[in-house]
Amino acid sequence: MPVSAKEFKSWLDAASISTSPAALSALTGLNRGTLGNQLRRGNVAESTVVAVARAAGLGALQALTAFDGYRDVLSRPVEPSAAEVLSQVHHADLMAELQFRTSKTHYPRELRSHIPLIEFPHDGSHRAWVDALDPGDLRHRMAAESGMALTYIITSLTENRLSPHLAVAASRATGGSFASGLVVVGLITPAEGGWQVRAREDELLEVSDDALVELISARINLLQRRVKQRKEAREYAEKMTELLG
Amino acid sequence: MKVLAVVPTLMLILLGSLTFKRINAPATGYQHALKGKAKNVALSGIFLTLAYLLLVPPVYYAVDSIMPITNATDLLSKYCALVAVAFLGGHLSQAYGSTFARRWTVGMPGAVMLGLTATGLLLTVLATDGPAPSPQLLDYATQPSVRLNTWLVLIYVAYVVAPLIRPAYLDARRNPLAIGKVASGMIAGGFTLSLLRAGSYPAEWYGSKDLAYVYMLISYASTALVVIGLALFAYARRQKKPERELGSALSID
Repeated sequence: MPVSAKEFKSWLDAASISTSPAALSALTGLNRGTLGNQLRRGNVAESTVVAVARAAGLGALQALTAFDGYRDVLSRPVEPSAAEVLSQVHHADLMAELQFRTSKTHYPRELRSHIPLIEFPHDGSHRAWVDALDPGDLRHRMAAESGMALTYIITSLTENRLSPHLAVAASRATGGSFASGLVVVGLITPAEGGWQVRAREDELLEVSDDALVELISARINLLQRRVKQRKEAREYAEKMTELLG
Repeated sequence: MKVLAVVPTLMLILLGSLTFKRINAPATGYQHALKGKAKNVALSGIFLTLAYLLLVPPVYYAVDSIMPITNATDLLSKYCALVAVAFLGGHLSQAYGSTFARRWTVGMPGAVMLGLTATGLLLTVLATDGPAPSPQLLDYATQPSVRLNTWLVLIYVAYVVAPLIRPAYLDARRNPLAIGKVASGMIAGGFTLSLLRAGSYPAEWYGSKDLAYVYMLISYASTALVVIGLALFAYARRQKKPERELGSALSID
């Protein structure tokens, strides 16, 4: 849910930044037409606020506190929990870690020490983050918190397109860091969200064997469903091109 | 009216080239097009190309000179078009998995409708006072029999394509390939135009004569959309798009 253009203009005025789309475009590098449309329609994307804040040298999280729905994002510690950090590790990297721990002879860690972990967001990373926070009924609580339909939330998670508004709703419902959700959805960078430079690598090294195996098991279940869906999608596409092509 | 004489030629070029490409593609093109699962699409393309070929003035006059009745070439062209639509309708109802469309366009109901339309076309051509050959019967377009003749074709096309609009539209939304989405969207759009033209024909009948060619252009646009949509599916098959774009479900590259 974007922020209101009125609040955006007030915030720009308070920060002594021009409200004209041309000046904002020159400042941020964002498309002038896009900025003009957002201001005209009265809804400004959170990413625009963050882009302006970065360009003006203001803190991204601090900037967001000027807007309804985000006023309390700094009211909790910004650092992520270990589970949140691990949720953003790709299942392939989790399995690589399993292999390193299984046999130093067959899977020497040094072999891929120079290869970074798979970047996030990756397929299923939004859902993995929500699952990491979920005490059991998080989706329903997100719906109640945000006023969004449950089906919309489920679709957003399936398509890996959680909005900043929903990420904040998830954090609010579980009492976790607001910043982490905004990092996970890509609104702010890990550094802006208080993540250590090698947070994911460090957590991967520190996670216990049983927690690692449990995490892999949960991810494999999701992967199994995704593989099945993709297989069905491919078979459908093949059938259609074969019949009509 | 010169525009109307040119458009069938352009349509012929489009249809002919796409049909030729379909049945003459390297490797498995010929095998797939005429013997594979999509053979009805190729047959439809051949009949439709033939229908447009007969409408090109030099061909029309040459063929009509050996016909037992004047303007029987127009009738022949329309029969080819009807057969093309019947093949296409039956095939698409199967491809899109629409039992409703299949029930009405294939088998006895489809054959009865085709037979009635074909008979109606014959009777209207016989009833037309047309002493000289005229491609698309344009010189006699104001005669009620010619208008009825045109409407019969439009009604038959609408009858076949109407139940296919929804399945094509649904495929345009759910097809995992972007090119498949576009192709089915074009097919659904083309069918919708056909349906709209048939439905608005009374307005065309009693409306201004100057606008007649605009209405005919709608039919040409509709045909072009469907043909290009099917050509996009053929392109996707030749390029092995499903394998390429939806290859491994595990790969993130």
